Amino acid sequence: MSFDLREHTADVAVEATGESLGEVFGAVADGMAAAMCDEIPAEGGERFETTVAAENREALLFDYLDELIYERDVRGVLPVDNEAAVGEAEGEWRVDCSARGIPLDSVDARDLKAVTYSEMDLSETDDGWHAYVVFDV
Amino acid sequence: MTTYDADGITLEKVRDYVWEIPQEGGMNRPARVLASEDLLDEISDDKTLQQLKNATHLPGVRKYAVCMPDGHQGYGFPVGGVAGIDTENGCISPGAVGYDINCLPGGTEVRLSFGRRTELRNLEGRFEEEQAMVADGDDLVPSDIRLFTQSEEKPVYEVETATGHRIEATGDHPFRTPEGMTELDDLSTGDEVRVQPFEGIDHEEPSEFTVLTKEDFEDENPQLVRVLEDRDVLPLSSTDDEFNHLLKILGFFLGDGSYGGPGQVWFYAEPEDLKAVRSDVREVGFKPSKIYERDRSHEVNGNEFERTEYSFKTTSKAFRRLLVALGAPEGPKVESGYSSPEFLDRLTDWQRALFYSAYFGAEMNEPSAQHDKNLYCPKVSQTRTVGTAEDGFQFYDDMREFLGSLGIETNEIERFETDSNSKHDTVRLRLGVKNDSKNLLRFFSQVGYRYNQKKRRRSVKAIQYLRTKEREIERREEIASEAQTLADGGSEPGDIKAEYDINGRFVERSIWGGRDGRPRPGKAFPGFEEYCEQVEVGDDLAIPDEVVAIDPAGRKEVYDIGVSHEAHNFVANGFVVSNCGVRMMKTNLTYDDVQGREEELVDALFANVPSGLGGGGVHEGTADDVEAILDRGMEWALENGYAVPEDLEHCEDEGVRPDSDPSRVSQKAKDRGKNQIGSLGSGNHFLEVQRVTDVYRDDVAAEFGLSEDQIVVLIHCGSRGLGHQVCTDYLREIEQTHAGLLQQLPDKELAAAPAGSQLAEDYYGAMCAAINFAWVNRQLIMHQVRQVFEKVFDRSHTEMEMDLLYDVAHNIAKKETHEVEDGEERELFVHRKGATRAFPAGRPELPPAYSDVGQPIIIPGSMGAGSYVLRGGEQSLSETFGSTAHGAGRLMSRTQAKQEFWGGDVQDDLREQDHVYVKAQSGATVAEEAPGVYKDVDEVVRVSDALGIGDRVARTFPVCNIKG
Repeated sequence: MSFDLREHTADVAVEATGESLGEVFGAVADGMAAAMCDEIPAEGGERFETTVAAENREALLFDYLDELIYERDVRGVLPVDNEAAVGEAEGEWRVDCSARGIPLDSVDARDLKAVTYSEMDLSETDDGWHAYVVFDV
Repeated sequence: MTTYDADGITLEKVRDYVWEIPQEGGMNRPARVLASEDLLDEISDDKTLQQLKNATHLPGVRKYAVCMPDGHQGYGFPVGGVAGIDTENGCISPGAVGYDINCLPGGTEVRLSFGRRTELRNLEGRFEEEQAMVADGDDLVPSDIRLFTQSEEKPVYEVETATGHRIEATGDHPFRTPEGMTELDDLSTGDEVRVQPFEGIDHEEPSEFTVLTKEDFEDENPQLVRVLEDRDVLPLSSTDDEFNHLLKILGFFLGDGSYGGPGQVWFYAEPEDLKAVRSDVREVGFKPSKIYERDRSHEVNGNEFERTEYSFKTTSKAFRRLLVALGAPEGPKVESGYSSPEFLDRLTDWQRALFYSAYFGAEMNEPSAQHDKNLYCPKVSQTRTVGTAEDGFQFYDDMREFLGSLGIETNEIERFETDSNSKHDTVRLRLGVKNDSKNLLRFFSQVGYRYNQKKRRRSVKAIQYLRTKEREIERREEIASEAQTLADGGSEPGDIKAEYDINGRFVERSIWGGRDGRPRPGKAFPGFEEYCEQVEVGDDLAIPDEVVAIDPAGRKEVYDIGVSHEAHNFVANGFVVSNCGVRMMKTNLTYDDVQGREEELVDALFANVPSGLGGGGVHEGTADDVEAILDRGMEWALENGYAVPEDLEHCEDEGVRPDSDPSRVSQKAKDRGKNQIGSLGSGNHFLEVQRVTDVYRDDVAAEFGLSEDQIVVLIHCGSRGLGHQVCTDYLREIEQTHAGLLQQLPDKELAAAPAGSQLAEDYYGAMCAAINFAWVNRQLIMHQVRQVFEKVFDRSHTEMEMDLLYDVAHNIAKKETHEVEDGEERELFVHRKGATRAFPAGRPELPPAYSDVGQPIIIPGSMGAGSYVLRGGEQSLSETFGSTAHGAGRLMSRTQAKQEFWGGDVQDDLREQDHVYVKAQSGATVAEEAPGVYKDVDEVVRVSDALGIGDRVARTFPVCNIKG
């Protein structure tokens, strides 16, 4: 799994790949953390877990990232080292995820306001999954 | 014509700085860009123009969507975009229950214009030519159908009312109730909903034939023929819309119309009914007069009484000849020998119903009680001379044939000898509709009365009364038959009586067979007049009914449909993001007072104004605080010592949005807001101490209290995480609720909730609450700045006259009234996405302090270019729904900026070259916001000033700047 930060006039975009849906979700989330903070400490902070459900894959990715932004503001931590497992049952998509939450006062981080649907891509490739997400800064 | 080509989009120059993208394709209105050619080069560099075009696809957009000189690409709507979107309730009314349509199965009956109905699925493929009836509580009017999509199978439920109306719909289909729109999921049995009992006649395509040609007007002046041709009523075809309007006018005229002096045609009715006739006259291209009023005295059987007569006339000779040619002859009706128009039997049932229902509206008596629970036969009658009686007879015979074809039975035509008038012997003819309940129900719900609102309302009551009565009779029939079966099986009469909630005599008669025909409804059942007094019918002909059952009806394919009632109205979500805005605070300090102390000041500000991520807020908030802030805005700040009364007087809306509804803000959003009350955030938000460098309009600057070298403070931020969460929550909810509507829009980020829908109402309430939060956020930062200044300059803030100049949002949707096409005044949701309200003097929304001069507009620039104060321009109302630019748009991406600039260098350069002291949480933010990444704000303001939408008053330049 990997991600890159892409250019976008007013905002910032993350492009990511992963062998599974869970991996690509985690990679986008790590990209989002990188967009907020240039130097992420390798250690520190406690892991937290959460679960998100939605009606389809794209909506799930959107809600997952939105949930991480929420956790960031409410817990006061930067969610890094993201792990995610994505599954579908009876038409509902679900991600069980965890992240290491680094206290915001111990890093030099900037705000990132919201996830957007703009130009969003989540598609299956020969090697796994590809995702592209633009964030409102 | 000068044009500008921008990668497939052509703009036409309207005049200097005004460019128009003409309406085409799915655009509901044209789009305009206000810019110089230089700015246009920049604007056309990204997707701004395409996004602006997309925005005009939103139903209800009025006049044109406008892009300000600082426009750039955003999400869905471009930043720097302004759109005025109609707020009037638009919705469609299906035959039985309901109001707004979405998610209804294909078999649902939909009311169409001209008294027609059809199954929803039949509209597929031809909805664009159709008009559906829209009830908005005030009126029932036809409107274009704009959206029609079929969605996948969804679970549907059947709702049944006390009077036997049934409708199937999905759980989120809104019904109109006394508490407003309520989704089916939230309805239970016993709840009141409004239904529309009139059903109309099945739509069928008329067969096409020519009704009138030039030859029918051979003897007329060629000029008169040209008038008719110009109005597209000559040649007149059976499939023309104009013809349908003429059928109504003709039917009404034969009842309550007359020819007057040369060229005149007169119509007589109550004023509200005449309004509808006038509108039909206009539809065929002629001009009705105003409504005249005069008192007339009558004498009937020796009793004199006064009444007011209302009428209007048309004075077009061509219109009069048209009516004559259609079969309304000149001369007194009694002796003119008119009969049914000869083309009538070639028309569809619904067309014939237009003619007859208009005649009934004028001539037939209204539904009334003959005897307590039975209704009279509604009748028409006419007097004819003996010589023309046969024509009159034929007229009624055709009418009988028409009603008979719909299964409506009539009595024999009656003929009375009458007191002959002075000139002729006359007879009176009369025809009545049979008065058994089922027959009357068919008549009232399919044909009924047209134009006459009083009779229409009354017939709606009659329909509901007869339906209720029928159900009661059916119930009693069932009891009678069961009782008989029990008796036949050997049960004792006493036991049978105890079984039912009905009087004993009824059971006895059922058992002993003492009844001829169907049972009667019972003593306790109200009479018709009594019933009429209990119920209210709206002007949209809807009437309250009670839900008696809600049952699952399986999974069905459903349709989403949207109508444009003058403009269907949408509150667009994706547009309005963080309610961010700017405020400027004045001081009586000058640059001299600050010079040499910049470092101290910037450090103190940075230490005391929370910024960046996770920096907390000025106020340690509780859940109750958040509720109070969302509800009361700046009043909360005043109560808690963070504001002085003058602050509220200098804030847009005096710092409180009355439409706020905190209960519509999610818990998640409130959680995020709790520890961000009074915080700058990061990105492009900042706080700046500035000095006034230029004054362009002395008189206005004096009114605003601005002068050269003065120190001011500018605060630019919004409602932080709370506002973003509100936006995200509703974007997702709209996506789930209005998927069909969304698919019709060119961009998912244009997510819009149809106004009148519960979701639109909820969103507006939540957004207004977030605006309250944004004002408080900026107020708390300003409070903090006052304290810092007090410490640094060792004087009280009142001594330093640290007064708020103005606080104005530039990311907001608000209900405002503006002039739209043809000079009409409309209430609009004005969406300003990165655009600032720019009201000139005289607008009632302005605070008294600025009502004579126009509102201050604060346009923040980048760190190196300075900012501007403008004044609301006279032209803004006609050009931009009272708006102007909001700042300088970005030129360069954040990632590119970080590659080109290093935060530390930018800071050093600014300090050494421009004497600007910058302090930020993150060096990256400084690089991302470096002066070079923004467009030229001077050019943006120059265009605004030249167009007269925002007049340049003063320019400021930064001294100290803090950011996240």
